[in-house]
Amino acid sequence: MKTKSFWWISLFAAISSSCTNMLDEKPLSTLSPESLFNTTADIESSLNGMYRGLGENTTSPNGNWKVLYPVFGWGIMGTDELSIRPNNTSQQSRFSRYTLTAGDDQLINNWYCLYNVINRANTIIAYAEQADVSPDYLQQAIGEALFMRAFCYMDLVQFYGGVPLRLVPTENIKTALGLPRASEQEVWARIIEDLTNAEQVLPSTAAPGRATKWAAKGLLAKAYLIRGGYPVGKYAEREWFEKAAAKAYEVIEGSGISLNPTTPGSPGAFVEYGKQFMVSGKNSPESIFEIQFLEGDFGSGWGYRTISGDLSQYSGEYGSYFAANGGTAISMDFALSFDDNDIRFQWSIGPFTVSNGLRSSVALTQWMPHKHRWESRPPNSWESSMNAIVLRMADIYLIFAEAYNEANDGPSGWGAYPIDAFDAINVVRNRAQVTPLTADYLLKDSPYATEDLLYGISLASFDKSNANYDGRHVYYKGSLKERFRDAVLMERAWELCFERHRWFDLKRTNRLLEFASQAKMGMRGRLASVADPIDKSNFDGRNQTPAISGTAYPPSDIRDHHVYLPIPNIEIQLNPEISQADQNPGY
Amino acid sequence: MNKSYLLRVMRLLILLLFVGLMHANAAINAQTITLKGKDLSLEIVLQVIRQQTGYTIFTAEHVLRDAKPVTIDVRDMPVDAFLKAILVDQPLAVTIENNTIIIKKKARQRQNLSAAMVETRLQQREVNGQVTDELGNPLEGVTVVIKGTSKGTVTDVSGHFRLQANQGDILEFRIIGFMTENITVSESTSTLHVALLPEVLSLDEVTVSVGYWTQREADVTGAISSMSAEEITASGSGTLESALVGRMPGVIVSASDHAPGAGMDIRIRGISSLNASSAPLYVIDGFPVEGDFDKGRHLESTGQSPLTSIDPNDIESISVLKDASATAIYGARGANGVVIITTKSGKEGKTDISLNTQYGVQQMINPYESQNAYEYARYLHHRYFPFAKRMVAPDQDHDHYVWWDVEQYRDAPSTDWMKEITQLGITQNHNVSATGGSRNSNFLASVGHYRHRGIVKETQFNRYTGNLKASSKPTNYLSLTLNSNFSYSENNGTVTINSLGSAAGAGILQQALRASPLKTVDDPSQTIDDDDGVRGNPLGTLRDVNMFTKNLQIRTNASVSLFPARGLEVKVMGGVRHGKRDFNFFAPSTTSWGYTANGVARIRNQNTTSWLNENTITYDRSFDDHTLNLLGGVTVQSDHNEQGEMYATNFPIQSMGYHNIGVGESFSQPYSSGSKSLLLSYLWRANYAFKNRYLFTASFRADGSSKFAANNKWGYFPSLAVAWRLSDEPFVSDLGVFQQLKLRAGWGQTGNPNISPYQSLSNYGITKQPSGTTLNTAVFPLNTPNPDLKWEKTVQSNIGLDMAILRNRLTVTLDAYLKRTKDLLIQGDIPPSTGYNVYLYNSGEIENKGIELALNGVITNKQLKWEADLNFTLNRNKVVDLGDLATQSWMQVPGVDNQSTAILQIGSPIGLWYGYQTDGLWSQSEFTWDGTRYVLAPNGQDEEGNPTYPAAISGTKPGAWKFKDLSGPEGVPDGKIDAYDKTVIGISQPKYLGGLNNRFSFKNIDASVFLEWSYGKKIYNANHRYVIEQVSAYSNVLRKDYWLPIQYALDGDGVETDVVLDEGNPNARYPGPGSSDSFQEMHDGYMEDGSFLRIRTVSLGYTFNRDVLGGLRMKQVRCYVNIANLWTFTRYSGFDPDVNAKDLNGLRPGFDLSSYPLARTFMIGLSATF
Repeated sequence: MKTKSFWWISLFAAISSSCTNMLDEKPLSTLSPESLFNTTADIESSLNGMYRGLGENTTSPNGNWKVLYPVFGWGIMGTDELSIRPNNTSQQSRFSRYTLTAGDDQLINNWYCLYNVINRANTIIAYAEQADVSPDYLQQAIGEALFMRAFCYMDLVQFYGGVPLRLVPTENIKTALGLPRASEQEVWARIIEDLTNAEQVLPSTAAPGRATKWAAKGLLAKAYLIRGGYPVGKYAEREWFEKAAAKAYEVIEGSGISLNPTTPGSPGAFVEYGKQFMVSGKNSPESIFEIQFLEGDFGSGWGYRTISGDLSQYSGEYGSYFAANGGTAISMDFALSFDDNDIRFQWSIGPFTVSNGLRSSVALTQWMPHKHRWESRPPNSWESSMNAIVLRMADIYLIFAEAYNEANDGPSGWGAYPIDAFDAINVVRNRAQVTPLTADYLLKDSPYATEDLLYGISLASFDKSNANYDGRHVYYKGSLKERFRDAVLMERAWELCFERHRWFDLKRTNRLLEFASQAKMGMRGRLASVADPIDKSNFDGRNQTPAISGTAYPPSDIRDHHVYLPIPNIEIQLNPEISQADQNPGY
Repeated sequence: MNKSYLLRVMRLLILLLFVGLMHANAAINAQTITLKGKDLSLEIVLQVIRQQTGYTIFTAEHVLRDAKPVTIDVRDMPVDAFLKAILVDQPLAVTIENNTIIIKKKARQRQNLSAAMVETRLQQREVNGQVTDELGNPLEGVTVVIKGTSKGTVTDVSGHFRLQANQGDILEFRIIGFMTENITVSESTSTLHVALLPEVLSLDEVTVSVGYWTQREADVTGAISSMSAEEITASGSGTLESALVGRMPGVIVSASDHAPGAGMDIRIRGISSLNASSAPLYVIDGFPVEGDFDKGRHLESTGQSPLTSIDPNDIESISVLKDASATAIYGARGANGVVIITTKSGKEGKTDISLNTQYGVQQMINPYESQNAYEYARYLHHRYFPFAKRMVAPDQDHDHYVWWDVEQYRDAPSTDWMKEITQLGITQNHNVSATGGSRNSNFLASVGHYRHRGIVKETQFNRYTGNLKASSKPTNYLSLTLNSNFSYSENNGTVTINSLGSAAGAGILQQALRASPLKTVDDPSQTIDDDDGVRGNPLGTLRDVNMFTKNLQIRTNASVSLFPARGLEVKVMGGVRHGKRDFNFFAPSTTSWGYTANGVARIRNQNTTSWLNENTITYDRSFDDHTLNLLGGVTVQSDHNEQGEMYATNFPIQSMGYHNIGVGESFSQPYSSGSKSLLLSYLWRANYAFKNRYLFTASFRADGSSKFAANNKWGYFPSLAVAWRLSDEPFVSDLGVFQQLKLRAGWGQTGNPNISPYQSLSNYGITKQPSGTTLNTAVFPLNTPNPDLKWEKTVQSNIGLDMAILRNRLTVTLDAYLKRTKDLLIQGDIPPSTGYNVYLYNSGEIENKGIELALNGVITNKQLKWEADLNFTLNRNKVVDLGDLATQSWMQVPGVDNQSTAILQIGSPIGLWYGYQTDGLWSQSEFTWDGTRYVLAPNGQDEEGNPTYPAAISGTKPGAWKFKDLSGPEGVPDGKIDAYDKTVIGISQPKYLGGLNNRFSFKNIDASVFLEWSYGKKIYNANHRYVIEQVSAYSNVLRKDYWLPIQYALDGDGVETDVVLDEGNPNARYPGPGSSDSFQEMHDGYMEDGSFLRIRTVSLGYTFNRDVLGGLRMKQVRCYVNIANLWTFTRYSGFDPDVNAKDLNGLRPGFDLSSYPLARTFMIGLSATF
């Protein structure tokens, strides 16, 4: 009996000892940190993973939308360009109406997704050195990560002000849970440092969607320019404008990138201009950095759908507009501000569909954002291959023009560059086939008695029978420098509308409250379909001056504190280094 | 042997000597023995014989001293055969006289104890008669005694007796297994016919599986409920889960959906986890299967319900271990309770062949009633016609309806889509089994087929099952068993539950409810209402969609037991379980699901392989007053899961569907994933009984799981339980009241590891990133590692009472428990600036406490027997702590959309609906017309004389829901309707629930009525959100009491006058057409009381007499009719209040959206044994 027990006990002991390392885990379908960061391919994959973060789906309460770029029209709506219709109280309306609260899901998602990409960049910056790769490649990889980190912090600092500055990957929750808000200046300093380091190591050309030297320089120029407008309300620090002009000029001079040309006078010119915003024209020669999307799982999402529309109404045709329940409304002031000759109006807002590279005979009946048009319906209507353009050459010219004017106290006469601010802005205007800007043009005061709309627009300026009619509607005031500043701001709106610039531009130039609260949004922007709607003099078909149909309303109830978004509640509650006292004022 | 037992033996012996025995015949009556056990001492075995037959056993302690232990597993074996079996190779001889077994040493000369017949011949008259059972079958060997005397006789083979008695004498008819009958001899008495009723079994005779062992129910110390084969088959259910509904206290079985083949949720003693599953562990013929597989209840989901694959006809018994002292032997997996399923085994004897067959038809109950063509046209017109520009600005998008001539539809043909998509359902279940064997080996083989054609067209479930069980004991020290089972099912389904609110993505029932009655069933075209996304027609969608799931499950295990010494068994068991599930889906462009994408195909394959090795040693001995049972073991179980998926859209050719997915021109990245996990365990248990009255159980299990962090691989799970059988104490037994009285108390600690593997590690996920039109591999960090991740730990205390009184006619089991789960696996929020938003860690606490009561009562008289089982469950669930990282006292239930907002709140139960409280509807008089639209009228003035306005959401209209302004930032109503006004608007867990089963038998007829009820739960009827409010244009709505404004005549300028044209319906219960379009947040307008009382089963059966069957060579035949879900008494307005469409691990029960309707089933069945 005892012997037998002994044997059984021995058997059990043998089984148990052979089993203990059976409990170690090796994942079958995911990678562990040890198996990553060894080869060039590993680092390439990690870099791709970092860029992916910008366009990733999130499992938010609203399901399948690409959270970060552009999130529900953030940076576009709530301005004098575009707003949400008043009866729409959905999630999508909140940025636009300035009703975001610190507990809002979108806010948390935006904040989280930016930090998620920052963490991916930090992981590469921290671990790429482990890999057995050439020093040049290593530098370049780290440069891309620095570029992306700076890009994300630029969004954060503009939306939220000073934010926690995370520069190392999060690995241990116990030690890395909290980090205090850095000051806005500190965040900018880091952005500028990262971009300065990145521009030195990045290559001149790269596959679409990857950062190049010119992307870093362009973003740096923009960072300087925005920094010049900070803190909000001051728009004065010449030092930053000088740097911005210099960096923008480096791109103008050195990159060899030029604007996509249009054929003057051609009826298809507006399509030539707009091609770059379509799927078939993505990553165009003018483009410097675009966030890449591909139909299906990697397509662009809800953000574009919100601002650019749903093709279901006009399936099979170019052109789309968002007419689904509670969509967007465009500002009448802004729509009417385009010069009558401006081909960009026809593309970006004009109520025309396109076929075979020309205007289609079918006119749409409403003014709506049409800039991002889909050629064909993607199988899943919100997952198109449309890219999000972050930086393109027209933007760089306008940065140069603006910075030049500020640094030089005027748009011309600074010997530092072979071109002046007029030259730069006119590169953009010429392509758009509008009258080039000159000092005379700017200094001309409005010949009309009334100022009915924003930007000095008089309704009488649309009356072709008026002796003063010349197709121009916007007039400026003040010194030449001030007029030029306003002209650049308008040019940016006409050129870059719906591309996620307006909110930031207005914020840094301290015009957000003024424009957002005074613009008039047309309920429907419904046009008479009989006449050529491009010809604004025929607008509304009743008399020779346009009228805003339906109820016009201001886009928002914006207040002073809305130039910053609230820090998400969840960050304040969970981050031991941030308390409610650190919340942005007004929230 | 104890003293009282000997005394009883002596008493009986004396009685026997006086009364005498009529026959020296061993096979007196069909007294049989059922016993399963290993190394039982002969004393115990004899005790069992005594208990099961009532025979008196005469022997002496010294005689048994040299007896060997007995290992036996028999069912219904005749006493004589049984005695031979247990005494083989024993140095003992046995003699069976009438009701008396005498065991002696073999060595001695065999003495024939001749039957002594005592007759006192007084001056009496003769009484004769016949004794039968309730069916009239004669009973042999019934003792007939004149009460108070020693005079008596015994019935003969034909049940006849004859004896002399005086008038006024009381004749007592007594035989074991039947209830004793007393008849007074009257003057006229000469010929008697006595029918004896079967006696109610006592708890002593029931054995239950307690995990790695079976125990007599009387010896159980934990809280265990069980259900036998008879009860399962009597329910007439085709699936095992539905057979369990309402049967056992503390075991809540709820439906998510009533689709053919859909599984159900089983929850034992409440929900005890937030992120891990609260499903129990299933142990099927010794094979543990973790319960997260019950996610298979949704046809589209990834899990596989282990129960759906089992034919209820194959079940021998089900034991549910509820308290921790019982489940702790399953350690880390025991926290949610353990369901032990034992399938039928072979039995010794001539081969029996049994046939069970049933056939039923099903009809839908409680269908929703949609509007007909005229009502629909009128409704749409009312929605879009501006009522003299008052309701809405002229809506040019809907000109068509605005100027619609409603009257032209008055007699228009109308399609009732609910009727069109439903049909009579058919269920069939057939099972044939054969069992037989010799003394040393036996077998059972069975095959079954279950077929269920659903009440929604094109839905069908087919299941084929096969079982083979064999066991053999070639020598005294060796026994072998083999247990093999397969189940293959095919499910033709359709999308019923769907999270999408849009009509295009909705489940088929939503689509049918919302489809325009103006369309015809033959109409494949896109008509004007296709703007809403309802493409084609629902019937076409149903017909054209191909959704086919194949599920194969194979389970085999074999064991070898060695008996190296008396009382000692060493058992090695090995097994493999393999599950393969293939989900195929194709929705062509003619269906709403495939229209946009021009055909959608999805193929998903899952393989689950699990192997198991269990090595146990048991030692079982009795020494005088001490009974000891020890168990020790080492087990290893490994799970390996693999899955893959393909998805394609845009099919230029659609005829091949998913059979050629490559035809699709757009496709997602193919997907596959795999995981492996391993559980290594050591287990110990000791049962000790002193004098059979004081019972102690202690167990301990150490579990090592690969799923947890390196620092926390091992968890330790102890338990203790005591029980006191008061009924065996002389001071209680002398009362003669209690046949059973036992107090139980137990404590134990268990765990829940029900999460997916690798979560403690740092993982990098892989995806793709486009560059231009190419895709490149992309890698990104998925999570932050948690080096301390471990099990959820549940500590549970239980006290219980088992009682049987009135000669076992009333038994009561009462349990009360307190269950606290700590170290919850919480997917907790962390500061998003870390780059992660959630973190899986252990914290928080949930409490469940409750009372469970089971009553069984038997009322019989000579003809009629009525047996009632009543069970009652009360569970109170409370979130005690939401975890270290929680920032407030409540949190949103993760992953919800606006349609299903539930919260978790400290101090409250899980499953709280959270939203606005409605306060009726806005009436037209509360608004003023500002020339373009209605604006709210002021309701007063503030101190400065400025008008004040009622609190409302922006853009509200007459006829829309009105919400209560409950609070504001300062904690008081602030005149605004915003997030501060949200509150708890419903608790989805029932307050009480239970079941009542009544079984009647009268001669050959049996009948049963089973009722189940649930009280106090709230259901969010999300269907109504869509089918009452018409959230999107053009969809049809229910024929309900919806708001309509008063219509006034217009004057010549188109301005309203005061002349009323139409009274409208201003006092409606539900809002007006389209009035709540833009407000989609949760509110209590569709929160309903989900209490119900259901007549779940009514059955009537007839069992043929054996003499009728003799010619057919059949042993037993019963035919029956059965009606399932006969009637449900409820105020709930949906198909069925037992619904759980978007349950989310129990965090959000009671959500009803487009779920499959409940059916009433009329069934006929036959069971026969040859």
